[in-house]
Formats: sequence, C-alpha cells, structure tokens
Amino acid sequence: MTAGSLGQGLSAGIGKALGHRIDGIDSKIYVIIGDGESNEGQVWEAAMSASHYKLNNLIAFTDYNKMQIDGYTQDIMDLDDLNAKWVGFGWNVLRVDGHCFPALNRAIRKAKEEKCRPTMIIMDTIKGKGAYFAEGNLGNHNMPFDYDTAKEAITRLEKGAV
Amino acid sequence: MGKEKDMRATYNDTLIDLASKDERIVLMEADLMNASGTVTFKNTYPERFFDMGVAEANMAGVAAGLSSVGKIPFAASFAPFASRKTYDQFFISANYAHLNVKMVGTDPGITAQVNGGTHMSFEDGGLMRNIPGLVVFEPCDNVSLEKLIRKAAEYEGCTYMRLHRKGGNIIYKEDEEFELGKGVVLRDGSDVTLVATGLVMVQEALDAADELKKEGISAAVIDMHTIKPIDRELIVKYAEKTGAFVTCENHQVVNFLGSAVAEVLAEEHPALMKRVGVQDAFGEVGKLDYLKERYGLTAANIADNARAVLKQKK
Repeated sequence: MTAGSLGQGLSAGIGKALGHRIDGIDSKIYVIIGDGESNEGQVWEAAMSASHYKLNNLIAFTDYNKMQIDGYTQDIMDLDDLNAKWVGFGWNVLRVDGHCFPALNRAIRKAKEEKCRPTMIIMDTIKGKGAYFAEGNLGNHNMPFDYDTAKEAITRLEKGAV
Repeated sequence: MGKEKDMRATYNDTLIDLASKDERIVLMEADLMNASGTVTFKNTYPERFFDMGVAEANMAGVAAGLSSVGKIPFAASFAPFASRKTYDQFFISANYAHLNVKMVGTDPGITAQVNGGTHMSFEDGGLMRNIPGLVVFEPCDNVSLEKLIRKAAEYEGCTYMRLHRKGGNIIYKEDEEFELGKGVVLRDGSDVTLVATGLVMVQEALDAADELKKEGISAAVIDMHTIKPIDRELIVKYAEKTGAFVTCENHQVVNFLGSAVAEVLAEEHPALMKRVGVQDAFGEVGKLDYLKERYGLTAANIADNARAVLKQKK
C-alpha cells in the first residue's frame, strides 16, 4: 500500500489494527503522518474512528516540522494547537523532540501501555536537520540537488558531519 | 411478474451466510446500516461489523487496511457517496494496492427517488469503470444479486456493485448460474439487440421486447450485469446476428453500459446503436415512475429507439 496520496495512511493503519484485533493478534500498528498532510480532512475522519474503536494497538506519529510545500504551516494552513486537536479527538497524546531517540523510545514504551486509546506521538522536528544545504531552507521539500552540492556533502560526511 | 423481497434483505442474508463460512468477511457501513438493511449482520457478527459514521473516505481507506491483513470487506453507502466521496481512497488505497475491497453503491440512479439530486448518482458506474482492473456489476433481481455477491466474494480483487435496495421484479429462476463478465441472453432475437443492466432497465427492456414483438420485430434481450469487464464475445455475436443495438441503463449514457457496448462495436464489429439512459443531466426529486418518464428510462422509449435504429438499418 502507499500513502502517497496524502491522508490515506492513517485510515489504512486503522484497518490493519481492526483486522489484527479481530484475529486476536497481539501487535502494534505504526503510522507516520506529516503536519502538512494533516490538512487533509481524511486524517480527522480517521482520527475520530480510531478513538471510537478504542484502538490501543495503534501508535501514530506526526512529523511536526512546521513546514509544507508552499511555506510554513502557520502561513499556509495553520494547524493551531495540534496537541489539543488530537486530545479533542480522544487520543492519548505525547510530545517529544523528534530528533532525540531516547525520548522517542520512552514515548513508544508509554504508548504500548495505553489500555483503551490510540496514541499520537507528536514529534517536534526540523526539516532537513543536519544537512547544511537543506536545514532552514524553505524550499527543501523537493529541492534540486546538483553535483557540487553532492560532492560537498560527501566531503562533509567523510569528515563526520554534513 | 411478481414483486420480490427487498434486495437489501438478500444482500444482508447472503453476507451473513458467507460470513458463517468464511471468517474473512467483514461488513462496513457509513451511517446507513438501516437503509442498507444490514442490522441483522451486525447483530450476528458484531466483531466483524464496522459502522464508520458519515465518513466514506475513511471507510474506504480502513476497508483497504482490513483487506491488507487478509479480510474481505464489503463496504456500502448510497451510490454517489460510495463512489464520488471515496474515489481517491478506493482508487489508491484499495485498487492501486491490488487489494480485495468490495465497494457497494446503493440506490443507484433514479432509485434514489425522493432523496433527489444530491443522492441520485448517474455517474458512479462510469467513475468506477475508469479504475484499472476493477470489476463493476449491477444485478437486476434477487437471484442474480445473491449469486453475483457470492462470485464477487470468491473473486480476488476489488469490485464495485450497484445495489438496488428495494424489491424488484423476478427475472431469473433460482437455479440460474452467473459468471462475472458474462452477459445473459434473456430472450433471443434477430432484428435488434436490447442490452440492459440493473433492476430498472432489464425489466423495461423485456417489456419493450414484448411491445416490439406485437409489431413483428424480433428483439433479443441481454442482461449485461457486468459492465467491466464487458462481455465482448456476446456483443460481437449479437452484432453479427442483429446488426442493431439499443443499450438501456439507469445511468448517464456516458462511460457506463452504452459506452462499453459502443467501444466493443466500434473496435470489433461496427453496428448501429442507440443509447437509452440519462442524457447529460443531474438527478431530481421524484417517485420512480415519474423519474422513469423524466429521463426516458421506459419500455416505450426503448421501443422507440429500437424502431429508430431499425429505420437506420434499412
């Protein structure tokens, strides 16, 4: 399956979670969605249904980098209080630094203990973090990548950092 | 011809029976469980029934997810919502992923009656016909409905069925067998072929054939229950035999039955044809008899078109 047509991944994950529940499979279904993707109405239809069906076997992440293709999310389509939205839709909501693996691990462990709600882990991230040519560049969603940049990036990688 | 039980009751009963034999069968609704008549399925298999609320796009996506872990979901809503509101989700999450989702559009075309234009879909079948590999069909009575649901459940891949909810006419005997993609010759004939689909139009076509018979015109009647893949062989056979066609559909004449038949004729065996169906119009509020007249979905109009095409043939 693909979630390449934005908004469809969460619904697909819900279907898998429901299917595993019917079959008594003890598993967790993980879904990752974008902040720009969260403009899609389907995400919120899905959000409503996951809590309605009490899918504690569903753990979702929002890659909250505050940027979408046309610019900053607050300028293009403001998500306002993202935590409050997911709380309002009945989810267990956790917020972490998306670049901190120990914090992510702790959040996932906590999500696995949840008894009756799906969990949304909102990850504060920086788009293109650590890549000198991408970080902080508003056009980094789909930027051209020329030979010189590649060469420079490889040189930096070999020195241990981009 | 007598009236039968509601077709939605057959839908419900058939799925309960299928579910009793196959634990992969699950049923989904979008706040229309009572309209679709699936309450007893819900009560029989509550763990395999999901009402997704008024959120058809999510229903289609969740259905795809269920299919991806081995379930066979039947998901229903009124035809315009089962098609227009789920199109991208059904297209990408289910069909592009080669999954096994059975989408069901209820109250197709004028059978939406007093629900009016917002609920009256003349384009759902055409939209669905555009999805690569999708099987699209429309049963015309309870016997064909039950048998074709069973075929759809057996078939590994996505399907779209136009489901008439209310009672219809009795067209078939209980022992009739069906294949998806194979039309059924209800009446043989040599002057003109009436190709019809669905509860409304198969009966109208049979009535038109009776009318024409009185004038000495021999009209064949084909129930083309499967629009995609269309039964090319049967169309060519009757093109050779009659050389004249009238297609009859409770749908826009664009991109459903009329188009499918025309495409086969143009490519394989050119023949004269007329298309009876909705002519580039929106739905409106009314009872079935009024709407039949309003859109020309009548035996009289089919017969007129048959006479017209025979005039061209001469």
